[in-house]
Amino acid sequence: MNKFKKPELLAPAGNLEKLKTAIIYGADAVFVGGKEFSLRSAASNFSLEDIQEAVAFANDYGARIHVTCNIILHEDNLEGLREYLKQLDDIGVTAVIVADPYIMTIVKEMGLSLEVHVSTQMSVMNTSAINFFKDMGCERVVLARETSFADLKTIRQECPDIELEYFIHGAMCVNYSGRCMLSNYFSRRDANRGGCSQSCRWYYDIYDQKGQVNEVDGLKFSMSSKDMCLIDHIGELIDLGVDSFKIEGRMKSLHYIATVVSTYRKFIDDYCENKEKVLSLNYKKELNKAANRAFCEGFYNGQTTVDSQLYNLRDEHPTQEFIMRVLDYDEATQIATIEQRNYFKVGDEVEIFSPYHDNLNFIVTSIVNADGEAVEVANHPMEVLKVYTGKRVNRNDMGRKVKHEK
Amino acid sequence: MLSIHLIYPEYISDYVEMGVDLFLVPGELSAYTTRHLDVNEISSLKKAYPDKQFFVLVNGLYEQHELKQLQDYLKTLTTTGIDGLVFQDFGVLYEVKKNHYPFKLLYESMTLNTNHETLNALHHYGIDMAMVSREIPLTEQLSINDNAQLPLMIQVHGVSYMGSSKRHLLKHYGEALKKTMADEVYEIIANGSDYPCYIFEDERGTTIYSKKKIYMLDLLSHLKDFDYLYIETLFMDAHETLEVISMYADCLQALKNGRYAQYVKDYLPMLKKVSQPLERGFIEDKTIYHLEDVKRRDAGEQV
Repeated sequence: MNKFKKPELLAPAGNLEKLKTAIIYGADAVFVGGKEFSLRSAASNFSLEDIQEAVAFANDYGARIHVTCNIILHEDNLEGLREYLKQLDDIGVTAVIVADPYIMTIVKEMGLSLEVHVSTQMSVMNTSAINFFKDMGCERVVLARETSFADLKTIRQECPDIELEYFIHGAMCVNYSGRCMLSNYFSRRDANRGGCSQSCRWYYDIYDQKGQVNEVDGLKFSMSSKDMCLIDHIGELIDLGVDSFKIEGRMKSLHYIATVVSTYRKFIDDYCENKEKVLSLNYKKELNKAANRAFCEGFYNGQTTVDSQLYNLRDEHPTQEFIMRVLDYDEATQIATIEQRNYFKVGDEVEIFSPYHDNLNFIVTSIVNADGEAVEVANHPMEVLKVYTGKRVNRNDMGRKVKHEK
Repeated sequence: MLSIHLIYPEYISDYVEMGVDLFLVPGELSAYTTRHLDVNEISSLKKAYPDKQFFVLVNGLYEQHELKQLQDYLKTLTTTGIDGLVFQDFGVLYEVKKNHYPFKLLYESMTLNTNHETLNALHHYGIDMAMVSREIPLTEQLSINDNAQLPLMIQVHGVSYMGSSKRHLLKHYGEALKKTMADEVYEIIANGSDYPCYIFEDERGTTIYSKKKIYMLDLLSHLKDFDYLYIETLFMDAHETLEVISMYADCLQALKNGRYAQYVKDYLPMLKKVSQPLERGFIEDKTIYHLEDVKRRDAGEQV
């Protein structure tokens, strides 16, 4: 048996349901955005009451809540900031994730007990920059996604007394975070205040001195990146002593959150229990079921290659369809009460995944609605139905439709 | 004071004669530039013009494996007599303070200097000057200048930085296309957009600039309280650079002797001929970021 310091598994959540799911599925901490001062304005984002509920829920599970205050402040964003930080502190939030040095300064000046985590928007990649933020009193640095494992190793050795957070999974900005104005120029949407229009994923015509380089119907220029997945390297990151593993995706689905969090949770636990027995291949298969795009390893090995880029929409693949969430299970009848999330019908094969047990499959043989009527199809979103599973499932398990290759 | 990006050091005597006081000098570790001067060249410039200010661009985001090189470079720069550094990586600030190097520090984060409180906080931590963001309206730029406790620089003319990546995006695209991407600079235009951009690659990765140049020749009377007015000379040829600097220098002089309105009237049509294509950038244009505002704007409503 091996014993390691387990890193924090840090998950994203765009609303309370996702937050609770992330914690149930094994996150040690969840980062959320408030209604103001947070990037990802398209995510639902949390009111103060939501954050209060999140903290209470997290406390029950021994988990922590980090709140992103990572917008780059403009003159008209300054009002209300101190009051907001005080409220987060009063509520019992563990940390604020901050990109603007002014916010870092006032959290310390106000004597709040909030930890300050330097956002990846600050693009920190070297020990001197880390020392600067350490001297400011920041407790943790979220390293830039551009940081390689080789550099991370040196940083860990030279900065043993500040927490390091490292991205392990999710979408990647093509440009240095915080230093990208494509959205601002192309669509007047402010990327540094959460309005990014993802212009890097658009198609472009490209010209040299002689004229257009790409053929009109040919491969267009694009900057779009594949998503990061470091499941093959989690072991060495645990061995290195990285403090926190970050999963990207506050705007991602419940299915994504549950799948990704539970997979990394299982890997970390299994590795720390017995590293010899863990095969990342099995976990990667599971992660692929919730993947929106093909995977790459980002800058883990130093520099990206052509294979890290998405030039073709065919490389974007839909996730496996999330169709149900288990609300209850009757042991005697082997019938689950479920909440419908996407269309399914009698005869479909369902894969149940869970924070409590290994995946299991069953064929839908009966669906009964709230009026006790047998139905052939489940096509009303969020409808509560009864489904015979024939196998024990648990509350909060989720089901996805199994697609068989033709 | 007038300041410029020194892409053509061979014309420095002309620039000095026109009244340029501060030069942002591209050095060996500079980012987002197409020219790199070595330490000897930088040293010679300062020796030749000791009364002018030279700030070397040490403005990259530096990786851990580059740190030693950065430390050595900063030490070497102390022998050149330069006045300061332009930086965005706080590792540079940390190194300068730790080693008590005598450089003034101009914080140019490319995009982030959008409020006065942040700049005042950073002033406390050791920055001496800062470049105000280009991506905010003039009213906000003025508000920052009114409330900041340190000298500020504002870009009045030239192309705008739009983004930078560690990735070699042109090389990768060439590989995907099975073509060699050998030109120094390319242009890209997003499908559905009419906004052309320059894109180029060096060992630090890929950089994107607007092709359109912002201009503020006719707004200088509003900017008189800024300490430094900056002309970005990237993607201008030597002739255009001289013409543009000359017009701004003359208009600044005219501000002092009460003839600014006449100069603007005469020079603006000339500027529009010499330095194309021009735009107002964000001077009168505010960005939005709340989802509700995006929806309202896309529906054609006033935001």
